[in-house]
Amino acid sequence: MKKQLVLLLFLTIFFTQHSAAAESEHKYYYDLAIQGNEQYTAGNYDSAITLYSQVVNANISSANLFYNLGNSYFKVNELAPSIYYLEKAQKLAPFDKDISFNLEMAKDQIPDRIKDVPTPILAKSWSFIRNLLTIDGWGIFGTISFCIFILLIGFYLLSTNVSLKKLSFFLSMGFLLATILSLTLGFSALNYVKSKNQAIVFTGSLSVKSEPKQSSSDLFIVHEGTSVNVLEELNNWVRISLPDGNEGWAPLEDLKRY
Amino acid sequence: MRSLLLISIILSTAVQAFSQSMSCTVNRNQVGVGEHFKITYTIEGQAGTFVPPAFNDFRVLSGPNQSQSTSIINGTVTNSSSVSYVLRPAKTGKFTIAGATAQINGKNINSNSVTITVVKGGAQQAKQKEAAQNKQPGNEIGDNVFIKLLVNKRSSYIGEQITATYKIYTRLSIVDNAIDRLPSFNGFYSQDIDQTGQGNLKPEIVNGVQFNTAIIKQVVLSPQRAGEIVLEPLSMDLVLRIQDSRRSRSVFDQFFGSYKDVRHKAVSNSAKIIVEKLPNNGKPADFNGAVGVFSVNSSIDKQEVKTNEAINLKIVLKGKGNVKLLKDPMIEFPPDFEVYDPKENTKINTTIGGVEGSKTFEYLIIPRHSGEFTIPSYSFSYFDPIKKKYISASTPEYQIKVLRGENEPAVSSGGGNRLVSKKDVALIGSDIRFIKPNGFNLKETNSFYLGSVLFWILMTLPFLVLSLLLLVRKRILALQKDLVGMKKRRAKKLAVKHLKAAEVHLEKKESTKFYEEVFRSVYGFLSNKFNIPVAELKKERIELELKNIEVSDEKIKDLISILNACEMARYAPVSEMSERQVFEQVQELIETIEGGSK
Repeated sequence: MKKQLVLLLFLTIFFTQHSAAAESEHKYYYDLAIQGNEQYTAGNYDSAITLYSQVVNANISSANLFYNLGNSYFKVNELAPSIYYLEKAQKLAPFDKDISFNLEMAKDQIPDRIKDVPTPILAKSWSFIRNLLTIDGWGIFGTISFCIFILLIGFYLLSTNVSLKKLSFFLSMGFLLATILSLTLGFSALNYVKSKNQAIVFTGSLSVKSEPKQSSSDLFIVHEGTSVNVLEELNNWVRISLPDGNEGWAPLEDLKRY
Repeated sequence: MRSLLLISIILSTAVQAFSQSMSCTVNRNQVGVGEHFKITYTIEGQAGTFVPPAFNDFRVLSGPNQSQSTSIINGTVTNSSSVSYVLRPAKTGKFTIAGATAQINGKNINSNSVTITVVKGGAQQAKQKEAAQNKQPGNEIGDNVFIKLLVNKRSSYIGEQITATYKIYTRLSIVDNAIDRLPSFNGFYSQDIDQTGQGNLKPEIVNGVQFNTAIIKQVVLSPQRAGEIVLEPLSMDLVLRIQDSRRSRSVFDQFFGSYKDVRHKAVSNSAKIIVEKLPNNGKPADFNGAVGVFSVNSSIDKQEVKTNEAINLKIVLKGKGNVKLLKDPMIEFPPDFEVYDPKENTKINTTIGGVEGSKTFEYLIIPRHSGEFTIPSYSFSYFDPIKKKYISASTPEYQIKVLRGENEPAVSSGGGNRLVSKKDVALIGSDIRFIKPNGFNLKETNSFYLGSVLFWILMTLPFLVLSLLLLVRKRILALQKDLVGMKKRRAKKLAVKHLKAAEVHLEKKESTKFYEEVFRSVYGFLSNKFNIPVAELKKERIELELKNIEVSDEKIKDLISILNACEMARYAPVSEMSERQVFEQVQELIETIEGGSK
């Protein structure tokens, strides 16, 4: 038991130190982002893009940062990267109204009006519930409810009072359910963010082919800024599908996955 | 055209202009022995010396009779002179009069030769007699007026051009004419050759006899199917003025000569054309039925444009063949280009040599999106009937670079009017929302609490705590269990202790105290033994517990009676058994229970 305690102590120290180091690094990038904001406010969108991109390229993500970068690209009429970063921002912060508004605005500028096939109500409500909390929100929620579950189980096992035992048992089952649910939602959201199963078209006009080779016949054309779903990847070609159900192959270099 | 022909026939009588040439004509080429005929040499241009041929088989009755004419038309001076002889044959047979030689403008020029058939008797007299009898000068008219169909080839490929000419030949003056029936040219695609300005009569010598000729109809034909196709004849109703052979009635007639008008129907011959199919071997896939000799050219006005700027692509098909029937070029433009239907411009010149001309297609192309595009080459194939093979000509490929227009949105909506959609108009007054000034929750990409090491630690920690708790509880329970065991083990010891005290009271004859100790000893023993508090130790319970450890009923009865005696002894002396007996019995019972419970 002493060993366990030592391990726990060690881990706690490790994490606090680690996060402290990350904190000072983040401070540098935070300043860069603030400088970017100043450039944006002054109307120097190109230099704002440069500053924001430095932060993004350091493998740092933040919904607000992506949002600002997307806005900057929009201001210089680069629709594809604008939509790309706004989509990324929305993935991290699904309920942010500003992000949704600007994304809608940017998408209004692209030529492709793809008829949306209505998503099934089950899938819709699933993603709605999943978006109620952020990924970490679900994680924390799951951890807390799991702790309560354990507490109640302990109470149930140790208590001699029958009615108390009953109550704590039922309560603990409720919290176990809550834990499973929140973790399922959390991991589902995590998978969604990590999978990069969507992409933005970056070339002016992209001919989608029937097979993953240049010589095959054209099926349809999508234009810059259109968001497509990525189904699979093969030899630098990706199989994409549109919300209206059309499918085909496109070279990976013409798209950017997010 | 008809009136033009008429006028020209009436006006023109004899001499026609050939530049620097000499021709020989006879007024008839069949004469009887003793009859005479006239041979005329017409010289065009300034004549020098004239050397007539030797008229060996003929006698010269008169000549050379010379005449000369000079005409000035629009300031151009033309000279012509003619030399004529009147000859009489000496014997029957076929004779050829060789051509004469003349020097014109310093050059020696020969005329054609003429064949004369001399028959016995007067051919003309006989004919005249016959004509007078029948009063129908049909045969004679048929010899003097006829229509000929001339084609430049008798066999062709489908689509190859053939020139067909209907020509009238006449030596009589035509008063009126009307086309009776025009050929329909079934199986051909026909194009008339313009005859404007060619309505004049032209002299032509057929078999040494001079005819005036005029083209009635000239067409360029392209056969449309294989096989034998017959060109139908053309027929014409004519009114001819011929000299009346009858004796004249009046002096006036005698002076001017008497004429009469005769109706005559002239029908041309027909012609057969053998049309071959185009060969199948070597036929290109893009062959579209063009036959002839063609060339294809293309030009483009710019190759680097901004979006929504127009590009002009011009494709010119040029050549000899049926230009009118050429189809639109099928060019596969990049699908993202807006291409309007081409503007066609056809220039055609139909001549005796066939139809030639050019067809121009002008494409207006508007690229709607930026990028690099290729307009593929256009290949045009045709069949060359002379070389008898298929030939392909193609235009170059064009690389088009489309840049984004300056004031254009990054990507403009394709298809014209969609630009002005309601949403976009509303957009002019609004803009995207402002950036977020702070609240950057900067994190490494894809580093989340969920799924991290910390997360898993926090998930396992409560588990560990709980199991730890349970472990502690188990230990405590075990300890408690030990306490009971100890009590049990100490039960006999305690009982013996109490009994020892009882024995002391027995010696001192303190009866009440003795029973008290015995009672305590038994109860204490049983209480420890069965881990039952003394308060709950009723006699029934004792009986039950003892039965559980298989103590005989007799012993249980003894124990109960002793206990009863102990209770009784508190209030009254016990008489049934002595105190010593009780003491020994208790000792024995405790031993028994101790043994049974093990």
